[in-house]
Amino acid sequence: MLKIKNLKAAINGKEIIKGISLTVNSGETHSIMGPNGSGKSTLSKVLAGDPSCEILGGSVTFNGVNLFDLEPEERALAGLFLAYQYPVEIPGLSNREFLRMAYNAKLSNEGAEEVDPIDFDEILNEKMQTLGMGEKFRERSVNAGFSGGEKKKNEILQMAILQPALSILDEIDSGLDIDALRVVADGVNKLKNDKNALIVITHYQRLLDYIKPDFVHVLSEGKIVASGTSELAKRLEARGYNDIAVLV
Amino acid sequence: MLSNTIDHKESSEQETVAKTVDLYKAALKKSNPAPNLFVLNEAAISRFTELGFPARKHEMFTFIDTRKLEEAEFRLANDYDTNADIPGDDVEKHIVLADGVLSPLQPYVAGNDKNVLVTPLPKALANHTLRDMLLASVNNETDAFAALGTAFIKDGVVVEILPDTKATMPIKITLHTNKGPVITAPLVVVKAGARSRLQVVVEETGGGESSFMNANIHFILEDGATLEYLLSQGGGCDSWSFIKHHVTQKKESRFSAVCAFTGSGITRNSIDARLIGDDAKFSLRSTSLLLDKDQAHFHVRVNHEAKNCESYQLFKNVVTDSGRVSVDTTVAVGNGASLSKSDQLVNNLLLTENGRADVKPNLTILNDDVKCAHGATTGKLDEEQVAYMKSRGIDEASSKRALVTGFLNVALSVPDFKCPLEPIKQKLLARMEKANA
Ligand SMILES: Nc1ncnc2c1ncn2[C@@H]1O[C@H](COP(=O)(O)OP(=O)(O)OP(=O)(O)O)[C@@H](O)[C@H]1O
Ligand SMILES: [Mg+2]
Repeated sequence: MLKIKNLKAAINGKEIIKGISLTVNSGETHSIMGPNGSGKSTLSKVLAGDPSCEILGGSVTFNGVNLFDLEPEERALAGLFLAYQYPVEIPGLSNREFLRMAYNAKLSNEGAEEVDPIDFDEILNEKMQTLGMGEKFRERSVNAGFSGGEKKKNEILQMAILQPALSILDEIDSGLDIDALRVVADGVNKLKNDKNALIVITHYQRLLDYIKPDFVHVLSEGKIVASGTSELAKRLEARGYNDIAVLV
Repeated sequence: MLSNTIDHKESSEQETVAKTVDLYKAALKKSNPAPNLFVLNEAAISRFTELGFPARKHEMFTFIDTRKLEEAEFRLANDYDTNADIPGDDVEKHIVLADGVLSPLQPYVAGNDKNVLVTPLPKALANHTLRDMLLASVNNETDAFAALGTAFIKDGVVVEILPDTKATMPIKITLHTNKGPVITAPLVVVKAGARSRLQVVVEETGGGESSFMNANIHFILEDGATLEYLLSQGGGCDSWSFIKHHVTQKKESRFSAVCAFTGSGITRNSIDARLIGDDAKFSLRSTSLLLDKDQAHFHVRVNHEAKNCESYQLFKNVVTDSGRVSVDTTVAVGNGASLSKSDQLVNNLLLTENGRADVKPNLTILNDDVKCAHGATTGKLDEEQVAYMKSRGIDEASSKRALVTGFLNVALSVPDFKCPLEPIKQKLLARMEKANA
C-alpha cells in the first residue's frame, strides 16, 4: 500500500528526514517510536503533504501512485489520513459542518451523492457515541477550546467518518486519560480490517497493549535505526533510547 | 497657496451647509410638521449649522471620504410611497419606515403582545419628556450627520415595552429607502421599561443610485431592562447608509447588539453608549463582509459613568476586492466608574491587496480601579487552518470559504441571544457565493 524509499525531507531548510525506507502492506499495523525531535511528526506531515515540508529526495508510492504528484486534498481522497499530534483549531466553523464537508468531499470523489445535514447527523451521532463524545462536540467549533484529550478524540472521530485506507496516528495517546485511551483504541481497532493499514506513532508501550502492532520501528535523528516486532517496544520501555546500539 | 486652499475648502463646506439648509427649508414647506416635531427639526438644523459639514479632516470622519456626499444633489424623498417595493412577504408583521415615513398600510401586529406599545413619532412627541430628551440629545450632538438626520425627520416610531414584562417575539423594523438620489431620515426610539426584556431587529432594505439614509436610533434602558438588538445594515450599490445609535443604560441593564453588514454601498455605524447606572452591561458584536467597493465604518464611544459596569466589543471584518473598513472605538472610563471592565477586540481578514482596514482603538481612563483590554489583528487566512482542511479532502476554495464564514460567524455566536441570527448567516453565505463568482 505504502512504499517509502530513501526519503529525505527538510523543514525551513533544515534536513530532518535523512533517508527513510519503509513498506506498509494492507492489513498491517506499524508502530513508530523514537525520541523527541527525531522526526516522527515530520515524516507524517511529509506523507500528508503539509506545505511546510520540502522533499529533498527519495520516493513514496501510495497504492502504486507517486504520492508527490498528489495535492494534500487528493492524498486524503485517495485514502490517506493523518491524525495530527497538534490538531488545528478553527473558531466559528462547527465541528458538524466541518465533518460533513469532509465526508461529502469523499462521497463526491467516489461519484456518490452528497448527504444533507439531517442524514449526516445520523452517521455522526453513531460515531460520536462509540467514541463516548457528548452532544456538544457537534455544535462547537472545530477543536476550539477542546482539551488535549478531546482534540485527540476528535481526530479519531474524523478517521471513523472517513474510513481511510491508511491512517497515521501521531501520538493519539498523549493527553488521553486511562478510560479515554481504551475508548479511542477500541474505536481504532473496530475500524481496522485486512484492507486498510495503520501507522501508530507513540512514546508508550501502553498504547501498543491496546493497538497491537505487527512491526515496530525506532526513528532516531531522521533515520530508522531499528525495526522489529512488539518485543522491540517492550525492550524500549524497559531500557529507553540510550542504548539503541544494543537494540540493533 | 496653502491658505488659499484652506479658504477654498472652507468656503466649499459653507456652501454645502447653505445648500443643505435650503433643502431643509424645502422639506419643511412640503411636510408642514406638527409643532413638537418642528421644534426638534429646528434645533437640529441649527446644531448642524454650528457643527458644519464634516470634511475628511474631521476626526470623526477620518476614514470616510465625505466629498461625494458633499457633491451629490439630493432631492427629498416623497411621502410614503404605497408602491414602494419592500422585500419580504411578511411585511405586515412588522414596522416599516419607508423613506423615513411610518407605513400607514402595515400596522404593527405582534400576536397578543399588549405590553409592547408602538406609537407614531408625532403623536409620541406630545409626551414632553420624550421631546425634551430628543432635544437635549440633539443640542449635545457632536456628530454633524446625526444632527442633520434629526433635522430631516418628518416621521418615526416609538416602541415601548412596559416594566416587568417580556415581549413574546422580536419587534422587526424595516428601514426602507427608495432608489436615489433621495435623502431619508428615519427615527426610531426604543424604550425598555424597568426589568423588561425586549428584542429589536432592524433591517435596512432598498437603497441604491446615490440614496442616502441617515438614521437616528435611540435606546433607553431602565433599571434591570434587557434589550437585544440585531442590525442588518447596507443598502444597494452606490448607496450611503449612516446610522447613529444613542444608547442610555440605567442600573443593572443589559444591552447586547449584533450588527452585520449584509448589503452593499458605504455604511457608517456610530454608537454612543452611556452606562449611567451601576452594574450595567453593554455588548456589541459586529460582522462585515465587504465586496467590490463596499465600505463599512464604525465609530463607537462607550462611556462608563457608573460603578461596576462592563462593556464588550468584538469586530470581525472580511475585506475583499477594494473594500474598506474602519473601526474607531473608544472606551471612556469616568471618574466615579470604579470596578469597570471593558474589552475591545478587532479582527480583520484582508483577502486582497486593494482592500484596506484601519483600526483605532482608544481607551481613556480616569479611574485606577478598572480592567480594560484591547487588541487588534489584521491578517490573511491562517495557512495552517487551510492545510488542516485540505488534509481532510476538502478542496482549497471550499476550505477558504468555510474559514471566512467561520471567521464571520464568531461574532454571531452570542450566548442566550433571542433575535434570529440564522437569516444573517444566510445573507452572509449568499454574499460569499457572490464573492466567489
Ligand atoms: N516548523 C519547523 N521549523 C523548524 N524546525 C522544525 C519545525 N518543525 C519541526 N522542526 C524540527 O524538526 C525536528 C523533528 O521534529 P518532529 O516534530 O518531527 O519530532 P518528533 O519526533 O515528532 O518529536 P516529538 O516526539 O516531540 O513529537 C525537531 O528538531 C524540530 O524542532
Ligand atoms: Mg511529534
